[in-house]
Amino acid sequence: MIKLAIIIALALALLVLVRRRLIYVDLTFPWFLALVVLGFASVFEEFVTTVAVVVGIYFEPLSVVFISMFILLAIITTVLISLTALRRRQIDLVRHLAASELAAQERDGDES
Amino acid sequence: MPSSTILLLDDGSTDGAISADTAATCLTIRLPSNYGIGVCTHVAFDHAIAHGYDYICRVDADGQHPIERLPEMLNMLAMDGVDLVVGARTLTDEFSYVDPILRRMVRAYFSICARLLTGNAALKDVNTGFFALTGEAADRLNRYQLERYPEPQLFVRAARMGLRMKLFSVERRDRLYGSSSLGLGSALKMIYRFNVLVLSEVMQRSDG
Repeated sequence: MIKLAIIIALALALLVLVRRRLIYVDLTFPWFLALVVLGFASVFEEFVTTVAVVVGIYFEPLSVVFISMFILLAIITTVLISLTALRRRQIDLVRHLAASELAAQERDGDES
Repeated sequence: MPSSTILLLDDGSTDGAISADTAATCLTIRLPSNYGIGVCTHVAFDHAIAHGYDYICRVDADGQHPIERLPEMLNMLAMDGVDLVVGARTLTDEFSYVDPILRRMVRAYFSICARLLTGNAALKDVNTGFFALTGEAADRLNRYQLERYPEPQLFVRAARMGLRMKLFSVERRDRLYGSSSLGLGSALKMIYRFNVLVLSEVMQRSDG
């Protein structure tokens, strides 16, 4: 029961951060998936055992670390993709602003 | 020189602003922070394409490039039916902080990879920032997202597009202003980027 309560508390904390606009909602999706997977692992211990057997981990609880590493990798990848998209949009904006400024300078030059 | 416009791009420099006298004689853009040569090249190409310029020349502002030879390069574009004229230096300062042998090896590596990638169509120097091209060539090259140090990417792309390129030998001069933005770290990143470019081009080729 306590495990489920912790997962729900973490999910609520995430919801609060989104509601306060501290985190963009699209970026929280990997966190949500991480909570689901880790919540599932904490409630159903057979899941951890199954993962350990499938992957060949001798000490079963270590499979939680294994799962967490994959989740972390997924989160980092998502953040990198978002950052790249943001960077691209920023560059587009800079190019657009520069084009407008140069067009204005050309106009001013023609008038004078 | 025929009728021309000078566009001066300040890529977020911290060592002084464009003077009012300079700003009165040419078009100027000061980027709010350092975005790299790729973005600067895009800004220049965007403007040239939008205003229908016939030719575009790219020159570094540190005095290394012999700008008095620009008319010859433009003449080659106009008379020889070439799309891109590349001002190849006999010696470059880009890797001046490392051993010259290493510098030559890196340049040779870039050149060999570029030639292998493009079926020998790439020119000998794929690192020079001194080049002139037609408006049409700029329009085609501008469709690709250019990297921080875009020269190898530009020349490899141009070769693979089938643009007609010609080498134009220029002498290397000492830098008159400023210092190279290329430190050891950024040089390593540049080599890394080039390798990624090579791999992505190879993958693109195998994708058909």
